[in-house]
Amino acid sequence: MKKILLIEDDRALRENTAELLELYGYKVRTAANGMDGLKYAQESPPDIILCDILMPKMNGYSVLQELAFDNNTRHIPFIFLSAKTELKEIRKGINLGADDYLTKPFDENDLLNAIENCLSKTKLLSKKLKQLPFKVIL
Amino acid sequence: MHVFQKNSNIFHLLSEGVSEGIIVVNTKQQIVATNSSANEMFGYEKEELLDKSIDTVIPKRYHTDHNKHVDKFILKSEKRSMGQGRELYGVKKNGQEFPVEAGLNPFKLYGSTYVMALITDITERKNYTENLERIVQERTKQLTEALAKEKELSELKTRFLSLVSHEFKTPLSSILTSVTLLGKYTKTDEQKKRDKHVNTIRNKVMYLDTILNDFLSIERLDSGKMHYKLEEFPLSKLVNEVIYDANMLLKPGQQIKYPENIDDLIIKFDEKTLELGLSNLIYNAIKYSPEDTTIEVIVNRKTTNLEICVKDEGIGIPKKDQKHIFDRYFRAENALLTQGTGIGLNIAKQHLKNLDATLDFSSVENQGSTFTITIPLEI
Repeated sequence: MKKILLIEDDRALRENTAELLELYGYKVRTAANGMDGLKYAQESPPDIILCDILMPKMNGYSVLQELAFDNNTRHIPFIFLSAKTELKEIRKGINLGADDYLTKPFDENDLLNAIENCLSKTKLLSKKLKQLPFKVIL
Repeated sequence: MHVFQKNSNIFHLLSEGVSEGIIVVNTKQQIVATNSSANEMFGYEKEELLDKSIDTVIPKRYHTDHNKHVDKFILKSEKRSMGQGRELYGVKKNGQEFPVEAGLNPFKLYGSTYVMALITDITERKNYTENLERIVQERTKQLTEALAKEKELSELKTRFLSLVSHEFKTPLSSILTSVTLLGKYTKTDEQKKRDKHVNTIRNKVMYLDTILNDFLSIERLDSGKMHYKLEEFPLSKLVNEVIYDANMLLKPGQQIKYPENIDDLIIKFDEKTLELGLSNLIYNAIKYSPEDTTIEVIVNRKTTNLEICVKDEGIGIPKKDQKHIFDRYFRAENALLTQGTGIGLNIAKQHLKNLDATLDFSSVENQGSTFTITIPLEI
């Protein structure tokens, strides 16, 4: 069962998204702000992180940057879920290293496809890395 | 001068026929003839100016320059208007200065050179021009100000629209995910789950409606289209309704404490305005307070007014932000990462002010805020 960490400050959206993903067989842990989210990711690295941008205590950009500094978390696929829909915001998120960027309100299929794509890319990458004659530290 | 006296009849005939003042001077700059228009213009009796220097009718500060100009002019001896590019002034017998326009006409008579000055009093024209200039300046200033205000408003609107669209997207996401989940719960025993999502949708629609109402309220306030309806109503009914709606938005462990002893309280006010003000304060209290805290609604009845206070144990407002808290679109530093448009308090205060009520607050960062609506009571 793949583990998802969902970081979102809006309670209804957090609960709904978690509920929806659980129906599709994911194990979801939720955090209501960036700081808790970062802590949970470091405590027990999930398979993928879904993260809002505008949040109290620590915003999504900072969460991603902090995760990138940590060897244990920098490889985790990261998807932004944000109400910031301007192109420059999306570009900023991607430039910071996010694997995908979903704009709110997002559709069930978009969400599931984004998660699946990220997970399969990571799977493919780690398979290829294992085939290399030397060890790569990510 | 004798020449003019000798030919006084001819001079008189010619000079009295024109409305301009005529002053004739000789090469020594002595006045040798004037007409009645000139006498009247400068405030002298008939022949009073004769033999006097031309300086008599020119303000002192121009004397030296003027003498030089006249000498040069007599040497050149050609017709021209006087003081081109400069403002000319005459001085009356009583010392009063006035703006003039003068045309200089040199001529020779029996071998002597004279200059005839045709003088027009332009006080009225100058006043008119000055008035016009002042009006143009005023209008330009008004226009510049209006343009700057228009620009500022347009920028604010753009900012606000982007803020509102952003504020809409998260609740819309909740609605969409709730609808998606509702569609999945088709079994009879899943009614509880369906109820939960119907409730989420209702809350989020209510929230969106509040933002829209705030926005529309701003438009009405700015265009002066507000119509208030002062009616008597029981305060408890309004407070109960507002708290009932707010209860649905509470975070886990939060609770709202009802005010005491308001059952028999009838007030005369615009019900919608009070509802808007109070709900705004309670929603803010919920939004900016953590879980497991109490929000208290307190009603104090005083002799001439009624106070309705909303007290929370929330994040409070930083001291440096307190003076701006009622500014439109302003968000306190510690609230920037929480959803909000920065218009709720602004419109609540304006509406209340329009009805002679006030909205004040006291707040300590990280301890909580108390917002108070004070309504005047009819005695």
